[in-house]
Amino acid sequence: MPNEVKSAGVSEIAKGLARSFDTSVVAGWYSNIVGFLSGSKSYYVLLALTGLVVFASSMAALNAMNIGYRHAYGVTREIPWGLLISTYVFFVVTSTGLCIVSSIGHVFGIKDFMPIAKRSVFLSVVTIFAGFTVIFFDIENPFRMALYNVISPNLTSNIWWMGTLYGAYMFFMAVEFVFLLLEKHRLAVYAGLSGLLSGIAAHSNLGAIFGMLHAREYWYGPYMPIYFILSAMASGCAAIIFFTWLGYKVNNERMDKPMERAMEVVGKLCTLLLAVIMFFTTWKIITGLVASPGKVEAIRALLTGSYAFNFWLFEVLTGLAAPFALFLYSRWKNYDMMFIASLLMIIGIFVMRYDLVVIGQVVPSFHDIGAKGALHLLPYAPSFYEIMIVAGGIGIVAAAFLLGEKIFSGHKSEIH
Amino acid sequence: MNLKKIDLETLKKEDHEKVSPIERREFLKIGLTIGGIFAGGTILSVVSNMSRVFASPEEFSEKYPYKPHYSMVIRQDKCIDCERCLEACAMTNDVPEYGYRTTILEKEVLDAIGQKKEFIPVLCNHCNNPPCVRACPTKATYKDKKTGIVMMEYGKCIGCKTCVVACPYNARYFNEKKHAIDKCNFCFDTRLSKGEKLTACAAACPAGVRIFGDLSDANSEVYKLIHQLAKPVWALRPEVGAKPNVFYMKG
Amino acid sequence: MKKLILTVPVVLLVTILLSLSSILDAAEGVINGGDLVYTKPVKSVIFSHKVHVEDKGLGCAACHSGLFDAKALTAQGKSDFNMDSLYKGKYCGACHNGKTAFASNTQCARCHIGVKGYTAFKTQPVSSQGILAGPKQPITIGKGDSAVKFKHASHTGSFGCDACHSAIFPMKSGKTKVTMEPIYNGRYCGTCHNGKKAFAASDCTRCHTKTPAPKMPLVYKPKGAAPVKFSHDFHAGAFKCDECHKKLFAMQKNGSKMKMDAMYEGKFCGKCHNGKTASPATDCDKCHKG
Repeated sequence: MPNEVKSAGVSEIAKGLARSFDTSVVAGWYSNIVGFLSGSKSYYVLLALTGLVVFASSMAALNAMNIGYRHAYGVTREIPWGLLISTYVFFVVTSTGLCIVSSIGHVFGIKDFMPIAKRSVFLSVVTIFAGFTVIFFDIENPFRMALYNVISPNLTSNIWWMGTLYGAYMFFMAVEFVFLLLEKHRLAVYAGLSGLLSGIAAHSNLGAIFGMLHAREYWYGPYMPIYFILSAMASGCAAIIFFTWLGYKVNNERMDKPMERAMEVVGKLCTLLLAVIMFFTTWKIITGLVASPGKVEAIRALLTGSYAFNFWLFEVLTGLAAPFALFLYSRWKNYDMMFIASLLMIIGIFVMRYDLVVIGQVVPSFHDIGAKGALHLLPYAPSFYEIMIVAGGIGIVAAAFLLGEKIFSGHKSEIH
Repeated sequence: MNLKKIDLETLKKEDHEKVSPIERREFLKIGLTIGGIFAGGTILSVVSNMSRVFASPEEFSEKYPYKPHYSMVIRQDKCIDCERCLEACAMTNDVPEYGYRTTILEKEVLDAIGQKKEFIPVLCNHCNNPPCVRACPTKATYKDKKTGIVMMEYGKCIGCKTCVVACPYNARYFNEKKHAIDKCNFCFDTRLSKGEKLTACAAACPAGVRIFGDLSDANSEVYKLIHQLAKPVWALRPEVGAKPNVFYMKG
Repeated sequence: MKKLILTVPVVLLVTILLSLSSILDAAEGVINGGDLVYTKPVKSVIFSHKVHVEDKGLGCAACHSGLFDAKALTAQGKSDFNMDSLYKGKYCGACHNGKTAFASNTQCARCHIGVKGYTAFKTQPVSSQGILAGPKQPITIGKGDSAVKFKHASHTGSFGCDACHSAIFPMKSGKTKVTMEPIYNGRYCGTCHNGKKAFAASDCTRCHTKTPAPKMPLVYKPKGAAPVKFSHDFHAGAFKCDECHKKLFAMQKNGSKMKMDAMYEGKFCGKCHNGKTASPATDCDKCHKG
């Protein structure tokens, strides 16, 4: 960053801090607290419920740590990545998507996308935090990661890049949100851009974690990093529509014209991305059917085998076809219909992540040798503890969302 | 930044005529050495090329950076699944009940004439291009520069299990006592570093299935078994490109 | 002194435990409807009688005339039951030399089914022929002390089910009333246990393992003489059942109708009690005790 900008930023922050003792800002904070206390009865009930879920989940997580993950989770040495990893992927995909779509507005200056920016940035921080919490209970020595990622980095490791870049991403997005709150728009742009770049880099590395493993035919190839970015954008659009609609319901308000316009353009982008993803998925399956025997068996499991239910009902119908149809039918003006579409998409995408992570591992390593025990696809089912931790992750997002709506008064901002 | 102005016209020409034959041979040797390391399972092709460049196999072995270059040849047709190797490994290396460092696969071909079953021992292949080492975020697993053994530094392992997913041979598992990923290390800490010549599994086999030795030593049995064309020698899953150091043969 | 008192029971306990563990360690082979599974020296090697007897048409004498004991799995108790012996022509190597049958240093896994094969045998009672190994519980034939506990395992190692079922025995325990008479006449067990195909039925103690001789003394009350109390104790300890039964005596009390004259002629007790083999029958007081 050029020196002039740096010093400007520092002085701005200093001014901002000084202003925090200004009564008008204190009054602003007071209104945040009042905002929180202004919720309806059902709001507090809902909030309490999410709190309960988070509490129950943390108890389950601690117990799982206590008895050992080998006993608590359904993962095995053949399938070491299960529901927790796929949920982590789901959350960070959604987070990156929220970042990318919101950056169209306030980083690249496309006005129609601006109204959704604040909420999206807030939620991108919340969802990535939830993702990190979920994966914290999957890796066996999470505290070592903070130390050895720094002092013993492996630059050929996609995990290292992803971890480091998502750490930076989370920082930048949080900083961007603070700047948006302080109405420091130029700094918010810089933070947002940094967040966007680190997010895309991190996210494509996440795809590459899978795509660069030659041992796993189902994942191997250049497709994964690209698919992850596109899928992120689709998830992001869905999340924006979902949470914006909910946010206005929570605050019991009507969307103003600019917000309605924003919903429309996000909806249109979402529809376009759905079409792209449907295209990608179709070709991945067709080309997979002429691949190595292991990969063919995995694709067959997806189409007609044990994962067919997941695929056709949840991935295709709920996640892609129905939302696509609903968006078109709504003409991007019927916000209730778009909300349903986005809800279906979110559910479908959650199952898409699960299928992706699990199916990549169900083909046994020695399948091609023809060894007994390696002839058929391996089974995996998530355990109670894994499901509880996922519920906790969802609870964190729900609680933070509810709190955010009240504390930050619906994330409204002035249009520039 | 001040860039020196380079006059491209007055630069001396450095083409291949300027390279002496000795320099060229040295370059080829280095190239083939590196190629040899990374050839792993396709060592046979390197052997035939090698003889064109080196005066003798000994000269080739001298160039191997791994000394000793530990390798194992598994004579698959002799395995009878007595599982003494598994017991020896578990006892020597404190391998828990729920995991294994090496195992024996069973393959059945019901329309085979005569013998219908065969047993295939598998273990960490200590690849020359290990996908696990590439994927580990904290370098908790690394390929030892002296012996070529893919080792574990248990203290750095964060338990993300990327190496478990990356391994083409299902050689890794999470060890609760060490609270890190564990795998075969050719008994380096329990036997080789203490003067033993063989791994526990190789020593325990009553049928001579596991031949363990130094590939850089032209007099070793592993070297002799691999460097012959009469009986086929192969590696598992060569398409993954990991270039394993464990070879299989029959006959 | 105290130390000694403590050490003796400890040493005893350790010895018992050690010997127990070695008994437990000695994994038994499995006999399973025609197949034998050897577990020593390595676990494990399968031998299929069906393949050798039915498919290849070998008779019993091909192997059971010096190569292998008739009793299953005795070979694994021998210290020379190893591959080197086979290569020298012993045990399986007598045929598996590459000429009569495939060489024993080829196709190892054809016989060596390994630990995995052993586990499969132990957990599934279905043999390679697909037939059941027979009831694991012994079948009690007869009642009381003379009852015989028949274990299928001793037969299923060599024969399939149809060797006995259902021509000789119905496949239902308790349905047949088995007595020695028909057996001596070649029915029931006597089909094979006639001294030719298998040990003779008169080798009583091979099957009648419980108190073969009656414990209660037999009391004879002859007319005009003191009663005789005959106790089997001494005689059963010294002689096998068939030394007296049934060439000299029926196996039934009062079934023989003995007379002293017959004894002096060398019949009944007189066969031995003639003054040469044992005390003479004229020694009245020895048996007639008033």
